[in-house]
Amino acid sequence: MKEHNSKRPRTYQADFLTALFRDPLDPAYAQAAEDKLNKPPPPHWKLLTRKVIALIALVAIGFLFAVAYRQVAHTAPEREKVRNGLITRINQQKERTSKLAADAEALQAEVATLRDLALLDPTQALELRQLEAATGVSKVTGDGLVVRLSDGPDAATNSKARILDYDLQQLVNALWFYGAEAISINGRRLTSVSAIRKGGGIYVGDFPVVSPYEISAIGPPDLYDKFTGSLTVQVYRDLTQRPEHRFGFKIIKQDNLVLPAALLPELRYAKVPNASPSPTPSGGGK
Amino acid sequence: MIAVLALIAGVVAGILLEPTVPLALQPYLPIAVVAALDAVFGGIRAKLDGIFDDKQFVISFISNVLVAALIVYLGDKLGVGTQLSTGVVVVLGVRIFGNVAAIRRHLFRA
Repeated sequence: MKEHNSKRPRTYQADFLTALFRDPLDPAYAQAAEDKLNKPPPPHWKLLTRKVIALIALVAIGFLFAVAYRQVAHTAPEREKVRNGLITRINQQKERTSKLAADAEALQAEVATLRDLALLDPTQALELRQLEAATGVSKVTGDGLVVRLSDGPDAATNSKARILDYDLQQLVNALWFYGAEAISINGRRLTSVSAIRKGGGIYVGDFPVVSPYEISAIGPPDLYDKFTGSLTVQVYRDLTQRPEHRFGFKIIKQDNLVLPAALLPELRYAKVPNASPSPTPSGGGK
Repeated sequence: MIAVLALIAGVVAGILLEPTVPLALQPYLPIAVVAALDAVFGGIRAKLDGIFDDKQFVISFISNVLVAALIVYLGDKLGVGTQLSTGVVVVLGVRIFGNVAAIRRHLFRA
């Protein structure tokens, strides 16, 4: 920046921000004014051209303001539209999923009926049904209990307040140990082969589950008493009191629980027999 | 007076022509607006000070917009786009406030 003598003394060198606050006007204006005093005025046509260019610049500025305003006014509903579109799609997919699940359940029931008809021996059919109930591939109804387990109140910031897959495993194993016949977590039925594991959250089988977790179990009448008296439950009751965990933990005795069927696991070893018409499968095996 | 009319003409043109901003230019729009505002208020103040100059006005507008756009572009490439945008807005904002205060003093003697 050049030194120059205008009416007021100016200090630009001090530091940029101070200068900015002291005198926000572009110093070029003062300089130009000074030049005008010292030099002969440029020819008339030149001044006129400058004026026209300045006007064009002003038109451009006005245009810019209008465009910017339109842009802001337009993007807001656009975003809303995209959001709503996504929400609709999510809901549609959810509906579709539940419809497909219902279809699957109906078809599974149909398959079971047809198979019972094909199995001439009623005792075999009964055995199969019991095995199905035990392995989780058919819907079951019965009395039992519900364990409600939830993350501590500050789970978002404190990882110790979060329920781990290990916790669910512990409680489920205790339930199996005290005679539970069927268990589901958040409506996901456990089969003889479903895992409870960690993977960016907790997965039961192939499905993610989130807090609060509801473990429903059907079992013998003494399941509730045995389970609530167990060491595992004692441990978790303890954990709810600790300030660093503060889990939510509650056991409720409940009758007429309905546990849904699990989706049929992929068959890995069993194969459809080669068109042999005689329906005599060897008895159940897990 | 003509200047105000030109500004209004620009706004009307912008509304009537309904231009769409290319996606690549969208991040520069807010910064360009702030830079343009700075040029406009600087120009008004210079006018009131009696030292307005057409050439300086055009140069300050164009260089403001270009420098602001360049800073945002560089910032985006370096991964500090928002911070640099903030810096530009702060500097230009201070200038706008200062000029508006000067304009106010001119107009209301207060």
